[in-house]
Amino acid sequence: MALRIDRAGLATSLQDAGRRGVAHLGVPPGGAMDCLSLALANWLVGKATGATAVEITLTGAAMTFEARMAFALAGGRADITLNGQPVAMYEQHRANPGDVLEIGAVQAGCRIYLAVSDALQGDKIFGSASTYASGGFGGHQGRMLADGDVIATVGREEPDKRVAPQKFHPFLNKGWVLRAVPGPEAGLLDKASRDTLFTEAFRASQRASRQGAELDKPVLTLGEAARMQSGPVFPGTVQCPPSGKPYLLMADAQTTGGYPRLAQVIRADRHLTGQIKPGDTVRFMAVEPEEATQILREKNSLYAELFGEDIF
Amino acid sequence: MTDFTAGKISHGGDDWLIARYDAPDPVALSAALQAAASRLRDEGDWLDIVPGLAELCVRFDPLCENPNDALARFRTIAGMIRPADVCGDKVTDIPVCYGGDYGPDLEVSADRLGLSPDELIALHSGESFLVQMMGFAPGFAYCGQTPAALAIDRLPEPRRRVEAGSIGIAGRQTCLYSLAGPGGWPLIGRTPLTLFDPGRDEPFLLKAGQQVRFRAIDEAEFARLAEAG
Repeated sequence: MALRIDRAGLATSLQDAGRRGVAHLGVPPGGAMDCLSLALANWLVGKATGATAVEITLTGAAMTFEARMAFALAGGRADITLNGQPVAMYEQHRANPGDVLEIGAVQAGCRIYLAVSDALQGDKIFGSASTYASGGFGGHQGRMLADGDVIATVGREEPDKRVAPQKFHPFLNKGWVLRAVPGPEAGLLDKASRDTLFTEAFRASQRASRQGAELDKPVLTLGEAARMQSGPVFPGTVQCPPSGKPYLLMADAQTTGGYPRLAQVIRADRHLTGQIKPGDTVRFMAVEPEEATQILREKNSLYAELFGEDIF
Repeated sequence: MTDFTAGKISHGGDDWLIARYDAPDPVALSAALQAAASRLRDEGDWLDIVPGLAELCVRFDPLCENPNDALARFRTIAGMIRPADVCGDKVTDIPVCYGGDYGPDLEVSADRLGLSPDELIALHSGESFLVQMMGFAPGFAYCGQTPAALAIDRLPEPRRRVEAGSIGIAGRQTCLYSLAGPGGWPLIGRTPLTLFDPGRDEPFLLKAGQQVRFRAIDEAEFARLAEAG
């Protein structure tokens, strides 16, 4: 029993909720770039919110079901068909052996999650089956999926039909507002640059991957202070290299960096970073850690009705 | 570092904390950071405990612990760190084939430092270094501190591809590239040892707090060791 990848597209990979407690070994947490969409897709097929799913990026993908199973999609918006017939996102569907699922180019957002009711078999390393392609481990053979790959699945009981109410769908935009706590080196910015960081809209450049996104304008001024001894960084950290173009780190980011850490996107908003695509704009809104905790609690409680657990 | 070192503690973000230290001896500081990290690990409640070169960061769960409570708890250990001995008993031998294709920047680096390639190799392999930090990539090791005579800048433009096992130098440090990928350190050699293998029982050859000593080998021995795995 399996899922066959007919067209892998730009960057399709197996991802789950990621790894924990391994940063000191140089291993990034990885995992789905948008944990909300991952949770929604998994919930729709009756799985644990952090179960392994397929993450599909920008250009879409196509695959064939080689067993009967339920499936669901969440995340970026795209035209999706099963054997040429449109299928809606945020609803559970059933596929039979030989059925072809085609996911078109993403029209809003950046990443789509496909969850299936059967268990997708990925290599589990450091407690997670998430693909970390630069490290060559996890997921399917430690790499992004390629045309013709066959992902083994293990059959599970068919889940009850589920539909996710509209109010739980992620809000997709071209202009993102991310709440962030000023970082350890925020003080290196002069007053004007600090104001810029927390008021202006930055543009996401073409330099974008699971490691992070470069924000190429406006450019910040750090001067000579722009080099420091390497220190820990985390997904959501906004670093600023000497170019003055802030770099927003994401799931597969390196674990240490030598550039000033200007801000930290708060945990409650980190799932949004996975839907930023080149050309979008990003604004940072300064909050204090205590405020961020409040926001995190509120956001989790909004979704608790659906998931019955904290997912952010 | 003969005395306790005070850390400057603050929020690094909404769910992580940072303690920064200013100590005259970076190796003694690294050893003290590793000791503090292991005390934090004994506490058990931190999601991540990551020592940097001159700082210590911890990640906590704000749903379980209020940020200011976490800060206070962190301060009890990271506020003052103890001098710790560099664990000197075990030194990991790292065979290195210096120069040639394995160390494409050996000659130009030696030239820039006013040394002959042999002098550079002698300085690099002449004493043991502490693994100060693991970071950048799984199993990538920052070691130091190297003699002042080896202090050189990073490359102006990073290489697109550096092979796994490559040994670089920059500033008062030397690094071991665990994975192939881009990299900005001048490369002086390569080890045939596999630094990181996710399929191995112990995926990491090195861990922070360990000591390493480089040993010059020729290409024939490199080939032999590489084959032996």
